[in-house]
Amino acid sequence: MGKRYSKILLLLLIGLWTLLAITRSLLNISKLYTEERHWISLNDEQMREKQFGEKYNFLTFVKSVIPPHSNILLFTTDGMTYYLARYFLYPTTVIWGERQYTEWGNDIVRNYSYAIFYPLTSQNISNVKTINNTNFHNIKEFRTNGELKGLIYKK
Amino acid sequence: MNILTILYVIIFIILAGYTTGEYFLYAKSYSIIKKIALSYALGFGFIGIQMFILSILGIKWNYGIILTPWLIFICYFFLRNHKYSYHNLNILNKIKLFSRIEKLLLILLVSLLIFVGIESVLRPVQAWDGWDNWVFRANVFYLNKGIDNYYFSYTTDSYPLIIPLTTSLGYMSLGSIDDRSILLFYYFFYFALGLLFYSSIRNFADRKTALLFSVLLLSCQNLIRHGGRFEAGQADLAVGFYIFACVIVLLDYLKIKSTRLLLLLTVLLSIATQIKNDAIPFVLLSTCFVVYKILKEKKYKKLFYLIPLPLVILGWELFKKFNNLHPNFLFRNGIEFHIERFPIVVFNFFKEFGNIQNWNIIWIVFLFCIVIYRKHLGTYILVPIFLFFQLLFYVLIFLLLPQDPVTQINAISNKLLLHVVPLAAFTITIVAVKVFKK
Repeated sequence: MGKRYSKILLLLLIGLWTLLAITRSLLNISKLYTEERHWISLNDEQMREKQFGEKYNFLTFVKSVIPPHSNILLFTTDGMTYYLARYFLYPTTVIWGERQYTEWGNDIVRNYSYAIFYPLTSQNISNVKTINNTNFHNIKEFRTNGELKGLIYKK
Repeated sequence: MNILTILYVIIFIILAGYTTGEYFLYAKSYSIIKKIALSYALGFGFIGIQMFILSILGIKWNYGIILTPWLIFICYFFLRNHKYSYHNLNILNKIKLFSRIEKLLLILLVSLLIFVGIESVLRPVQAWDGWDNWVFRANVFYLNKGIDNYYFSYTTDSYPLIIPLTTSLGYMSLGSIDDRSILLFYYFFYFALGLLFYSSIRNFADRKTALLFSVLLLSCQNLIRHGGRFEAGQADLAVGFYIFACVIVLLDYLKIKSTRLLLLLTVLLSIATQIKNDAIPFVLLSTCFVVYKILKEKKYKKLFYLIPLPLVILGWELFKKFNNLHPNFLFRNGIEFHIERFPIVVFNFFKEFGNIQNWNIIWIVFLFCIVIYRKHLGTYILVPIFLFFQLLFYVLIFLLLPQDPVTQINAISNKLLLHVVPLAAFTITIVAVKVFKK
């Protein structure tokens, strides 16, 4: 490629980049009005609910039932629910039920005081559950629009 | 109110970095803009390391224990140096001398900085890695008033600690957890990157060019996202900022050969190792390069200035060893070498290069510059070399993973490129300045 053509091409590329950058910057800034006004009026709880949906409502429900600093097992098929639970419920420690031996081995304390199930699969539903040779009794149900979505069991 | 409190903490961090930098590390030729940017990098790292040491010594954190030594040093510095005001900071008079285009670019740049700043504190943390890792750890350390060793068994992670440690200082100043205003710490990496990028270009280009390319870099959507819009709360922008800062200081050191700059480089590299493991290949290469230069000059005494780096790395490795921290989650299932993946991995990186949504056309322009104009770079050729080495390392990691890499690459390639995008933009700027100067 000739030097002159390379120079012209570089100039065109930087020109195009500048055009894109300016357009997108203006578009971004305009989002403060077009998109963000839907967020600004919300408080933090409403924002979290808007972002994480029912999962957040369930965890808020769990927080209202279980005392802080508890040690609980969460049985879930959804990784996001587990990590959100770990975040929102701390200082309660949450261990992922299905992975408690593969992921943690013997590194953790296993005196769980609660076991929670979310989202529910049909076989989850019973009044008493035996987990790690310990019986846990159903104490609370989480429902959305009347539909059973999650369960909390206590040792 | 919480946002203001966090802003005070950030100003304090910058002051801590600034006074230490002015006293021991900065070159006299450094502009105030460059010093402010580097001061954030230094202060953030120093306070994180201080909190780490206090925790190891079993001292429960409180505001007084952490900040009093800094406060004394800051007062001592300003009283001793009689630096009560900066007369040359009359910004408004300087702006009056700007051309119309420069004023427009400045307005755009400032608008971007304000926009991303507002975005960062508009919502509580939203990014997965934020609530899963970086912000979560700040919460844990704040509630425990120190590093809680059970935390490592509980989360099975072994990430470096500076980001969660320093950001937990924000919670300490608030007296509670607020995962919205704490994101300002992450935004300030975006802000400091902008300052550092602009001031570094000003070393060899006019104001208009520096403003233009700063706007071009800071308007990358991925930078905007990690700086504040939805993705703030992750460490990748910080890694990009530290890598860029190290490269700039390294280039300055090669020019000036000052031992102060060598020490500054060592300190920044040491902090970078404790931001995220991803910075380590860059740290290794740049350290090898510096050692080679020192040996070539036969100024062996300069090697002593590198001592903080192995000390920091060794300290962290010993901590991991004594506390039985888990190995990196990527390699818990062992290592397998899959050379056959090479084309797939490289293809996926190129796919991300072409992702205009994330990067505008920065990678296309960068590759064009490297292919056509690499000879124009002169000593600056180091910049793309560091970039390609870092990317090569990531490619190698994907070849070694036991699990299929494609899903991983798609999920994280935009974050990996964030580590080196300032280097790409800097390379383009150097080429553009040299080509259009002639």
